[in-house]
Amino acid sequence: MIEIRNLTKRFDGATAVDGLSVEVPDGEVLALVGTSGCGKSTTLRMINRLIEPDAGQVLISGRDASAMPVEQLRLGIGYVIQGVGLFPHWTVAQNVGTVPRLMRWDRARIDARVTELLELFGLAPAEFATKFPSELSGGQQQRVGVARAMAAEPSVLLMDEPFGALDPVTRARLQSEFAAIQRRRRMTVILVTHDMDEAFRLADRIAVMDAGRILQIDTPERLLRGPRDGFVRQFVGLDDRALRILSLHPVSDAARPATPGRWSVDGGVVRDLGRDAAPEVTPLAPTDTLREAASRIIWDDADLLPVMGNGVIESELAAADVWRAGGRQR
Amino acid sequence: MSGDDSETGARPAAAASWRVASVFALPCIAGLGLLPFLSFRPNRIVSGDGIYLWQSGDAGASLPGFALLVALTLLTLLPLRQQLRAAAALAGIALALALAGSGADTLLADAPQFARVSLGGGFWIAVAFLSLTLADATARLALRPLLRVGLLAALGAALALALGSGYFDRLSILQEYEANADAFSDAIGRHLLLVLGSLAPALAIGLPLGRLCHVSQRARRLALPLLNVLQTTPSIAMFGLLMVPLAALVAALPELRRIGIAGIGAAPAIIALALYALLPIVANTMAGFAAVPAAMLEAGRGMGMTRGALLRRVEVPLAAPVILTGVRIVVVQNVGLAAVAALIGGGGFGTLVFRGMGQTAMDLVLLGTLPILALALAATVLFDAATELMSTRRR
Repeated sequence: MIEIRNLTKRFDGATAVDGLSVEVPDGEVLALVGTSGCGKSTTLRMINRLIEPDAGQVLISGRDASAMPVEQLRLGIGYVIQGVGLFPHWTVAQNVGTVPRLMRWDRARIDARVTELLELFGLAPAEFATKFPSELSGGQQQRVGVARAMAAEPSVLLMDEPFGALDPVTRARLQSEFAAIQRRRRMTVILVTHDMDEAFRLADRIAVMDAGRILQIDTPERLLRGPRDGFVRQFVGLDDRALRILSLHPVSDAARPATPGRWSVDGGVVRDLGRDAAPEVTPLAPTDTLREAASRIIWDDADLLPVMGNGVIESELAAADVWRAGGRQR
Repeated sequence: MSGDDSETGARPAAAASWRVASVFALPCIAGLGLLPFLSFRPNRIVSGDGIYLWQSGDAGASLPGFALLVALTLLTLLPLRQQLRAAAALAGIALALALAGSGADTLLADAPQFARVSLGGGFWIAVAFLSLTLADATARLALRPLLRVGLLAALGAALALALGSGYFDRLSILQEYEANADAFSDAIGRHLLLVLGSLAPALAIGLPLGRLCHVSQRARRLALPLLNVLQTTPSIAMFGLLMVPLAALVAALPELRRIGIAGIGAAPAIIALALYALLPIVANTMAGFAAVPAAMLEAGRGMGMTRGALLRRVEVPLAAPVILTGVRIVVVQNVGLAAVAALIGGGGFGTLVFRGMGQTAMDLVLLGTLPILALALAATVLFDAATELMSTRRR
């Protein structure tokens, strides 16, 4: 649990963060979004005191951050810096083991933890542990950067544009990997990003910031359905908000029981018996997003698509239900 | 057009390397043809008669030797693999040495007792340009650092074996060695003492001072102009300037003399060399720390490193290659400067150089100069290898 109360920072008279207050309950991912210079990075860096606040308080699990020795505070907070920042003279294993070494864990425990984390991030330890950062691709470096921040099982993880420097494909893959890890680990995370899609993909709540203040803080769906202020409306991107809302929901949210006799499954080939000539259709998966389903509905010119899980057609998805999920009346 | 791509890509590189090769090979051949290879003198100090390579031994050996040396040099011009170019150059150097040795034997076979045979301009030019070819070819091979050190050691061992074999004993420079063997072996130890003895205090002062200058703008503004003045003071003047205060100091505190400190001798030389070493060490230490990316510092701090841990684990290792480059500059510079220390009684190879100049015995001068060259070369290779080992696999 992170409680931020009235946090304020001025640089040369200009107010970077202006009396900001927010609470992040355990296990939540909070995204701070906004244009550059809105104070989101400054806020993040005041939590681990890389920047000392002019006023206000940060409480981590009820303890005042300013009252703790600064190194000890930081050892307990995972930090993923902008642009990865791996140490070039250390191997992947040494990089990941940085904080455990600083905390004087014994050797065997560090090795076990490093191996566990590399496996968690899909980097085969036998291959990657002894590599140097310059021998890794950008995506691999980012994975090591996040693994390094998680090494000492911190109660809090701070991430500053963690996937910023990647191509869109790699970025999307790392985002979904991280989302999957977070579903299991339930860390308390504050994520700074200027990428609204990243915030929608990873965050439980999003705080839209401008000029050092939080304009609105809400779940992604409520933010999309009810943006309050002009800046928030602009930043959230209302042109495709229906599609963005759909992308927040899995197919299983809107699926209904399959119509008996509508679908035939024969050796993995699914046919739609309800249409002329029983054309072959590719079924949806229950974990696909409604946005992906909508795209398929439009492309296939279909009213109804089968949903296949565990090798059987378990339900079906009607176009009308998708449209309703993304509509304002829901 | 498109079919010729690979060829047009390869050709400019080949042409460039041919141009470089010819810059080395053509002067080598010109030197052999136009300048005497050896010089025959009735005694040690008079100037002698030039002997061209093809006249230097009995005609059955020296003419084919000349032809072979020219052929080896021409071989380095061909677009060969660099290993072959290096081998040809190395063979050329060995052949030039062998011809000089046998030439001296032939010329002195029925000469008066005090006659001398020295190496001539043709020999030096040929060996110098073949060495450049060798250096160029090995640089292009981009050998691993440890292999380079191994090759250097092998070359040194081969040279020592050859000189110890007695084959070259009749060359004047080795006769000078014979006459000055004690002074020579003193000079080795003394020269190394001057270089390493000045390096230690220079590092002890320069590294912390460089760090301080990196951290504090004020320290930088105070220290750098001072070090610049030190660096630009001519060496003779520096030695002279140090003699006066040291002599005064010893007069005031006579017990200093007991531990070997005096106005002349090694003490002022070591102090002067240490002062010359300061600027490169301080400047490179500053540059090394300045080159540590800000993201590394932020990452280290953000993960909970104390200032000491950050310095020890991140900043020093990342700055080390640049700092080591500074140490290399200093060592090479002081290997040369230490020769001047002989003027104030500091000892070292400079002693042989100045003794040779006083006696107009050029071969004695060479006996002092060549080891200085060799030391500087060895230091360069060793430190470059160390720097490279330290920065390999990093970005």
